[in-house]
Amino acid sequence: MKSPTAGQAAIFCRAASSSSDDLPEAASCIESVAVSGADWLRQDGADTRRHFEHALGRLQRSATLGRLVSGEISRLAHDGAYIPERVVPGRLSLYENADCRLDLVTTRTSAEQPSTFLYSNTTSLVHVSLDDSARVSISAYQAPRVERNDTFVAGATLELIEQRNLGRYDAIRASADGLTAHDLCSDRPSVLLRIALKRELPFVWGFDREVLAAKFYYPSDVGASRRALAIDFLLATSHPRLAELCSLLRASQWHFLRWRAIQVMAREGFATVDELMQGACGDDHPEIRAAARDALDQMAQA
Amino acid sequence: MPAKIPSVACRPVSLAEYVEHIEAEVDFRDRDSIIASAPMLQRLAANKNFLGDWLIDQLSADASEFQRGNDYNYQSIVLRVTDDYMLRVNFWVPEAHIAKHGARETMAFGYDAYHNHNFNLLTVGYSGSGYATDIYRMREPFRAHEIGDVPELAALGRWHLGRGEVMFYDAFADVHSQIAPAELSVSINLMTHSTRDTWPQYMFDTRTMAITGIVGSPLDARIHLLTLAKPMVPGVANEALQELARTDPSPRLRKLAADALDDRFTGWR
Repeated sequence: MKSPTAGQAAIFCRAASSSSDDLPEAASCIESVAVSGADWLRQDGADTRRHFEHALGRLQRSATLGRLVSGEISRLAHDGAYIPERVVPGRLSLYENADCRLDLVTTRTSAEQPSTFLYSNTTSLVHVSLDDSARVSISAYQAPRVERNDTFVAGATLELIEQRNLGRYDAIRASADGLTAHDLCSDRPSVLLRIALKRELPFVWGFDREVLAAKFYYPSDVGASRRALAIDFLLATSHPRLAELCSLLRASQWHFLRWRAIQVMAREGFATVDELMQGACGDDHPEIRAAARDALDQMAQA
Repeated sequence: MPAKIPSVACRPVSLAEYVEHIEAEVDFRDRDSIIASAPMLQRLAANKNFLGDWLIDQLSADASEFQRGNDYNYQSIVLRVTDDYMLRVNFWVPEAHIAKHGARETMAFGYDAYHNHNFNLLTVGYSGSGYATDIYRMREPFRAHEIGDVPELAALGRWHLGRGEVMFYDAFADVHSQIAPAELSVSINLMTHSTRDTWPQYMFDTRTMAITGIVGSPLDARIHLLTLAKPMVPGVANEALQELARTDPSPRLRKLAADALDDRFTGWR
């Protein structure tokens, strides 16, 4: 398996096949923007911002992005079976390392019907407009009364904290501290550069766009839901290694999986209820601690 | 026609034995060859512990890598992918779960969502009571349809995939929608795939059976790239889209390229 950086270099190499002489310089431009953008996201200071803007200026002067995309199109035109890598609707991934990723993304246009829900950020982001012919606007929101990403508060509302237009190579930083969301829109199809930290919050919240009220939340990683199905499946089939799976999931980063594992262990008698609930009283999540204390109280009263 | 093969008592095989068999014996371009491999799929389904063992082994080895690259929703676990086929497990959650979680879950599991496939699909009921499915047959599967078209369909009634039973769905022609089972159920799918599809996979309106959308395929990445490139390098991107719209061998890609030229291509489903 190649390292992410090597993987990216390979993508760029293909894209820039008509101008391979300047490959190292162009790849270095992209990496600098991603790494300095991630630094700025981790620490919002004058120095980190200046370094990022310097990298952005270098990227702009080098016209790297236009060449990269043109190179990919050239390859596509010459090879009918070529399937571009790392492209999904509205997003082309340019760079990725263990810490961050850099993508090109399209904006929703004002003519398009917006989705019913506005979704919360799962990580901190920097957006950079690349277009001077489109009017790109960003609205940033925060839910001031929500303390934990992993404890749903039905009806919690988002408040608009900033709304501004982005000029060409104008950057805006959206922190995921607290519960935040943003909405990008442009008057015509447009493309932005997006730098995202890899560290993700565990849940995505869906807010009704009309009234900005929280309606539901779900794990940001589909792997959490797959694990939940796995435990249900092993339980339903009385699999001989169910206890082993419960032990694995009892240490999960997702609180609902930890609680599900504890419930199944109690039900199947893999440990005493008292032992399981005593352990759960020390869990990181307040809902698990509260549920465990309730269970112990009920046992004491029984 | 779709085919159904009843459950039989059989000796279980391991996942490795199953994979070895199909890779040696099955011609994945040939419908009859795929159907002929059904008994081996039943033998894999007779192995009651392999999937749980596989899940635990995967989660124990490197949890962060678990199903990395699997872009399906959480209903699906991919066991193996080659250039010729994909072996996939689907979970089917029961009515009670859906009622609790609402429309979002219904969509996620594909219930009440009529669709055809752009691949041949051989599937076996592995555990649980199994899903029911209402099946239609498209009379002219190899004809380009627009969104809103109502293709001619023959109703084939309600079928049920019980434990150990095998069903085969023909690529393009068979249209169906699953109905949530009474209890958590699992099916194992052997899906053929090619790198160059020529006809679309459609979604249909549950009531009118009009085409409501086109399901994506890997080749769509060509259109996604060009759509994204249009604002950046409009001359080059438009030229490439015009070329695709005019000359691509796939009617699907030609149509999507033409839509993208007019900024009408915005997504799927």
